[in-house]
This record gives sequence, structure tokens and C-alpha cells, in this order.
Amino acid sequence: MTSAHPSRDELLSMAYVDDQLDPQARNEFEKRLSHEQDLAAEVTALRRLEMISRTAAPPEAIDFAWKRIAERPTQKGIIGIGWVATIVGCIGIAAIIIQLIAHAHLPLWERASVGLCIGGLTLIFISIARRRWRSRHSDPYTSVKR
Amino acid sequence: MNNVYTTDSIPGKTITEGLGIVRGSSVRARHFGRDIGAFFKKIVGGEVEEYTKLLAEAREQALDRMVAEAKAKGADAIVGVRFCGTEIQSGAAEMLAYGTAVKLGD
Repeated sequence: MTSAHPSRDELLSMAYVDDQLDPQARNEFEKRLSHEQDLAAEVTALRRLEMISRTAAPPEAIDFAWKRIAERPTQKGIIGIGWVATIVGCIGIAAIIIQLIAHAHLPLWERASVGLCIGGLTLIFISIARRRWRSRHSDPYTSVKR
Repeated sequence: MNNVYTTDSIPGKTITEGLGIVRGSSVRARHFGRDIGAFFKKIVGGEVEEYTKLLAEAREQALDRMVAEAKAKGADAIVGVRFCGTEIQSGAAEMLAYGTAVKLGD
């Protein structure tokens, strides 16, 4: 949606989002949507816009107050230091746990079981986080405020 | 579809056919970082914006899914729309929107 005149695909996307396509054109468009990433991104952007206009509410006094406080350097500093300390602490705790398991007086198969379980859960988490991260642009609902 | 009503009838319109119940549901969660923020806000009081936003996201998604089902049935409007929410998991919001899809007369 960068040029002044919308392209054919942009017009088709608008018609699709507004439910103006006949069933046959809609089916064809949905087939294209399944494998054309640019087209899917265009539809998501339009849905996001529609979502914003539908849920738009006038700002409340507390919104300005929160924004003002959040922009203060002290607030940013406190939050930033808090998160860094928490993340570093969590990494440290994970390292301690790994060390405890590695040096525990357990038979090899028990240590291997614990290691496999933690490793497996980590891989599942990475897979889910990766899927969410890659599909986050296709979720128009994240723009809803309240 | 803009014809989504909580009432059982639509002023000035005649319902000619009922197409049955339509519904949409959604379960959403914020990421763990937001949950930590929300946890501390619960301690100090005030609005927990993280969860206000979470509920709004789930509500809009459930509404859209209900409307999509009505459109697929060829409905002109949905009447008697209701929302209900429950908690499947702590920190996640489930919203269910349901209503009756109808055809309108000319």
C-alpha cells in the first residue's frame, strides 16, 4: 500500500476483507492466500486497520499519565535494570540446576533421563516460540487496545 | 457484516428465516513478561491493562469467527448475540460469542 493507485491485488484484498467477492472469486483468492506471503500480509494489514477502526476508543486521562511516567528516564532505567537482573539471574539458576544434575550421584541412565526431559521440553518451547514469532505479523488482533 | 445485534429482533427489519446458532470462540494469552507485569499490578491495584487488552483481543477474535460462520451460512444478520468468558488456564482468556443467524426480508 505504498503507491497512490492501489494495485489489482490490493483492490482484491480490500474486496476480500469487505466480503465483496463472489464465492468463486473468493475461493480463488483464498487458494492464492495459502501460498502467497505478500498477499497474506496485505490482507492482515487490512484486517488490522479494520480492527483498529472498530475498536477505537477515545484515549483516557490515565493513558496520558502512564505514557508520561513510562517515558521518564528513571522509570525506563528501573524497568531495564529489573529485566536485565531477572534474565541474568534466571540464566544463573539454569546453570546451577544443570551443574547439580551433572554432578549428582545418580546412575548415568537417571542423569540421561533428566537431561533428555529438560532438553526435550526446551526444544518444544523453542518450536512453539519460533512459530509464534514467525506468525505474529498474521495476527491482526494484537492491535486491539481495550 | 454490520448487522450484529444483542436484541432478538431488529427494529424496522423482518426476520424471514432462522439459520441456526452461530458461534466463535477464542483462547488467548499474553507472553510471560506481560504476566509478570500483571502479577505486580495485582499487588499494587488499579487496572491491569495487560489483561484488559488480552480480553479485548479474545473478544474481537471470537466475534469475527462468529460473523464468519454466519456469512458462510448466507445470513444477513445475527440476533441475540451473547458473550461469555471462562478461564481454562491462569493468565489466558477464553471468550465465546454466540447468536442466531437470520435472513432478513426486503
